[in-house]
Amino acid sequence: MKDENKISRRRVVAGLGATIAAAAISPALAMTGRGDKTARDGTAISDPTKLYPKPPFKFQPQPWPGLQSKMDPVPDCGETSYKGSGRLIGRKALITGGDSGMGRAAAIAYAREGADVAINYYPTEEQDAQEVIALIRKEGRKGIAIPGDLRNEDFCKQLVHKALDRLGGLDIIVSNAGRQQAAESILDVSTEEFDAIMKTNIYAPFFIIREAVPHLPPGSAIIGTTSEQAYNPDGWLYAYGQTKAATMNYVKSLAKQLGPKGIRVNGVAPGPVWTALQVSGGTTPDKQQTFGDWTMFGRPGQPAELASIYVQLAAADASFATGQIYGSSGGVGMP
Amino acid sequence: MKKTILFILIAGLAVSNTKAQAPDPDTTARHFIIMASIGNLQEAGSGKLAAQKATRADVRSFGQMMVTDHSNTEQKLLQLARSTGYQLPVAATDTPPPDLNLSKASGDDFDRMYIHAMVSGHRSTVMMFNDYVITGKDPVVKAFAQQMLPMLKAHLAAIEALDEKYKALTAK
Repeated sequence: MKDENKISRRRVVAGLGATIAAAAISPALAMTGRGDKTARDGTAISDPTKLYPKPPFKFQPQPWPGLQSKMDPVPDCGETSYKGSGRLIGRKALITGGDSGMGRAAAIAYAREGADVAINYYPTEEQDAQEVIALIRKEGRKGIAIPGDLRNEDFCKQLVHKALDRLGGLDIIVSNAGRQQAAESILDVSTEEFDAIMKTNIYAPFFIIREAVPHLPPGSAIIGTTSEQAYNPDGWLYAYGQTKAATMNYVKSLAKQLGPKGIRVNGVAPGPVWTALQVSGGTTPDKQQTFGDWTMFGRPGQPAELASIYVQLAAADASFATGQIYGSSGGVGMP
Repeated sequence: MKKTILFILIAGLAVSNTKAQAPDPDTTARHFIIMASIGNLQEAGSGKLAAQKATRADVRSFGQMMVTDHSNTEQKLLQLARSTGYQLPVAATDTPPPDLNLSKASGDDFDRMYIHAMVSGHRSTVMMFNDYVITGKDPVVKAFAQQMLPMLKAHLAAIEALDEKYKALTAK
């Protein structure tokens, strides 16, 4: 009943022109505005089957790594909806792949929870990245942009030191950047592509975490983005799938290693989420057009729907969670 | 006064909202038509690339056959959707831009990637049409699926034959 009422009100607003009636009920309009906003920021009850766009989507290939600002529909990373409540005040986070997708959603959420945030991205993603930096700074937090190629070991080391310098320390690392390229057959995977996927998804987290660990104080959190693909990979994600299995695995190993030092290490395993990966070669054309129709909600997830998980795993009150993989996948796949 | 206007507006819209929530039509049939339409357009698009770019003459002519057959099938499908009243979203009926991987590839790489894509693509298409013939609810759509199956199976056989013929390339 409440939900119906909300929809009706939204339609009232949509249907109103610049009429006298609009002026007459303006106080009610203001109230409707707030009501609408709470629908997506989790403070009001909302129906997950109706929250976001459903397939089919337009086939819209972009060269790797792709810009989410050019996607149709543009992914929702919580730009207008995420509301902080001081859960990460004073924390200092480095997020790789922070320009778009889940990394962007985490960056926005962290800033709104009170953290200073450095984001890394590939230089061609500058446009998406600058939007994130502006959103972080709008919260009165430090927003640091560190573009560069994660396949390069020297860059990974510089990345950590730049973040340490400019943020004055680090206590959250989100190793999120990923490369995903679909291929029908193992024969279609070139040595260069395989290498690029391994370098980005497996070597970069190693380089970055190894460089950062000596500087992380007890209470720090490391979060890796893994995937449902870690457990039951699609046939066309031969290379990507195994890197996500590796991520799930390093999370559990490092958790054992770093637990005694007071550093928690956890992973997030998304199901099909509407991000730039999916339009820049990460999935087959027909799967891109019907992306997410196989979930129980008949749609892909939006990055904004996973932001709170990245916040929870970083926050001090998750103090007993380490070596865990938190999933969010619309009722399909593992964990 | 304000409350009265708001009440009238909400009451009016609540009624139209209820109407909009009439029981869903057979979403399985609509889903099948959407998937088939996307498949047709993708096959025709890749076929066009193959007709231009494939090195081997029989791969080129397979590509041309894909353009002809899947463009025809798409017309029949759109007609079916119109006559049965299933509304198709633009994203399912717009001509898609060409596949980036195939656009980039050339020489033997193109032929190999195209054959791989067509083998797995037609396997899943035949499976999807078979499934609808067995489990589908809309008899008109079911008849259409049944009618298309022999052609799709012939495509699959043709591409599997090419896959076999060029196994030195495709299983290199």
